[in-house]
Amino acid sequence: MSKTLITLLSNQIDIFGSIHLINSLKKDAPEKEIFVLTYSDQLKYFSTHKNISDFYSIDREFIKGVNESELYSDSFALNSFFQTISPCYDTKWDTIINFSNDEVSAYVCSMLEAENKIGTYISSYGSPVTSNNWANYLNFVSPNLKKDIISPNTIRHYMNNIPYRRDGEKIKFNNEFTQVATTNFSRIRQSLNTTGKSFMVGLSLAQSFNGEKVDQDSYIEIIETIESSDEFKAVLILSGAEEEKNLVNNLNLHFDNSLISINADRSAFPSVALNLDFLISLSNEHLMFADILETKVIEVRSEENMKRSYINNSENYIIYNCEKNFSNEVLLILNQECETQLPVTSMKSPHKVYMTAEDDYGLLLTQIQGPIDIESELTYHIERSFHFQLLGFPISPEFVKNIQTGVEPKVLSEFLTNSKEDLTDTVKTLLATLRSLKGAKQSEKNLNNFVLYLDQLIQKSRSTSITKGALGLFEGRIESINSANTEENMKAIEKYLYALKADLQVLANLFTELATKDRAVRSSEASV
Amino acid sequence: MDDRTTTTLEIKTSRNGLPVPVVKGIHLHSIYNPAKEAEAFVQNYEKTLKENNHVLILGLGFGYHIDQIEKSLSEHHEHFNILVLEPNYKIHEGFRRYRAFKNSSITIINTKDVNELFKSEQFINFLRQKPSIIKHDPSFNLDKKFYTSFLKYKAPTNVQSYFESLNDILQMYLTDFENTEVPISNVIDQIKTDRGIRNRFDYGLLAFEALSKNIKEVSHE
Repeated sequence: MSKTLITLLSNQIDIFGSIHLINSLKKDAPEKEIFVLTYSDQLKYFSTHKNISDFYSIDREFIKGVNESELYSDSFALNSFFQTISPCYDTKWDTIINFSNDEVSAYVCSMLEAENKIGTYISSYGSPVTSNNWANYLNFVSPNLKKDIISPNTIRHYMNNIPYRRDGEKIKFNNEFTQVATTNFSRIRQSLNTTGKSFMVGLSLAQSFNGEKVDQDSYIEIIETIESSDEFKAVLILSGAEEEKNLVNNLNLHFDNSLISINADRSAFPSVALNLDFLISLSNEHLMFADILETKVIEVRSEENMKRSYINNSENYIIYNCEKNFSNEVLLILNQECETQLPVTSMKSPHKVYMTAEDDYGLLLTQIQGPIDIESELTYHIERSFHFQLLGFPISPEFVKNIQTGVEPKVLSEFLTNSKEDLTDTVKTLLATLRSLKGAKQSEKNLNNFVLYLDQLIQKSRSTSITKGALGLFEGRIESINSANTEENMKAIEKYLYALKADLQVLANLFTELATKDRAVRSSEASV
Repeated sequence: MDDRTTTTLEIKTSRNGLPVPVVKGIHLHSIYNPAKEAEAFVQNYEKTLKENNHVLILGLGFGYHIDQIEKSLSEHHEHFNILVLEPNYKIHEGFRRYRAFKNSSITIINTKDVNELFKSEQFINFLRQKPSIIKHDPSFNLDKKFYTSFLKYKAPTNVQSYFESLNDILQMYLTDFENTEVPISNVIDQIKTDRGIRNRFDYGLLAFEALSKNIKEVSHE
């Protein structure tokens, strides 16, 4: 029986996110046994995971306690760590997946024996090695992006070379809870005074992963509006925290204690989510589980928290809340989705509202309301196309058409002009690097100059340059060079510099493609 | 020299008929009413015993103070743990003969070797619960050197000093290193510099180092 070990040594976001990949792995090869290496204090986050044969857990609290005190010898920490790892290195694995892409996992993956190692691990020279281009992207490009351009879930599926499977029972349900939830929600629906469809709208009271709290005023207005409708019912969802109970009391003060609230821990929430038509939530566990179960979600997050994407299904919504009331945006979305006429205060929005959609490449975010920062949006979409092309996808004609029809020609033209300058700047640095490499080959005196240019090029992968995707992949390739021989190293670097040149050409071609049809559109408009 | 042969333990009877140990002329409890003395002693620690259900007691005597501590803990906590540290063998032997405890929440450690004490995983796990420390003064003064060295103890950092406590596999692996009379961080530096990565246990040590660093950074955050 083939054995796969997945290392998950990061945080609960990755742990919940792993549900998708684990399901896909199991669907792809049902006979596969899947094991997980994690931390003991994080085992509780796996309570609803399915398809895991067993866990290995590192007691980091114990190791921390030993390390922090002068009383305890390091032998305790060392013994504890190696004791956990020992069943893993005694096993011959079919596959090891460094899911969390952290340093500890990378070393552990290198320590263990496996036919296939997926993700980042460490060479005998101490440098990071990635199993494929997708792993390279995850390790060297994604961390430097202000916002996920390709979702981590997509990256991990491609990294493992398996399709993303939406079918299958991804999480465990408590049958009793499910029965009770279904019965109760059915009663609630029946109590609504409507002959048509009824909609259960869950409002999560749990704070976000980075500690943001629910905006009470927005929730009050949403509840007020939907409770006055015959078609909707508001249901407050708690995860059990004391402050959430206080929040329920505060909200109930406005509604004569008539609000329905459900205290659903991790084992119960899936049963609740199955019965919801919508979940309004901050970026938290409720959101991730609702998304896993394909319940429609309306995510509310701050603009500072743009980085990570938690949603994996299309036709869901994200409202970027600039500390203002977002109730109007929620009601507009509900009206659009349910074809209802809930009263709204305005058809315009001060908040940026995005919808998740799908195109040839997969999931993307498309802005549907609010002030548009056209440069930012164009950068996102064009970088997205560029990154997918770097990872082996062809250019999407649909994408080109959408940009050209959706963006004013003057604006697009200005954007392309600025972006070409950015590209030219990078190409100049690349050519300077190639020239200095030639110089370094001739004389060691020129080595310093070459190193400076090379460093300049790599630093650009951490900048706002539109070329950063290609530069990140380049950095990953450079890091993976495994030789103590200077001549071999130079040869390898040269090869990768030319590969980078080819990658930048992809971007140049993309700009040409966008500009060419743009000119054709403008000239046809002019002739008309 | 072992105190089994050097110490003489005299047992006197208190005014209210309870046995009182006397070592080198020092009464370890009140010769009038050791139980009442113990009650008054524990009153000073009421708040401590209310807040913490793990207690480390320095000095066994004949346990009258421990009885009262146990009583106080059981009033405040459903579960509690008492560990008693006593270096004097004769006192321990005498206690077992005259007044053994029946409560499984009380453990007595009878040792004179502080270094050996800190090699015990059971003891370490107890200390990690951050127990309150209560000193039985007569016992403490009788074996001041031992208790002082216990309270001032710092674990040696060089690998050679704790080598015997390591798992078999770790011992086998570390014999490959030239110099282990250094902290583990120095051993790891050897992997990163001159020695290089030679086998999969080297990766294991590097993983351990990365974990330790990561835990430290998360704590600071």
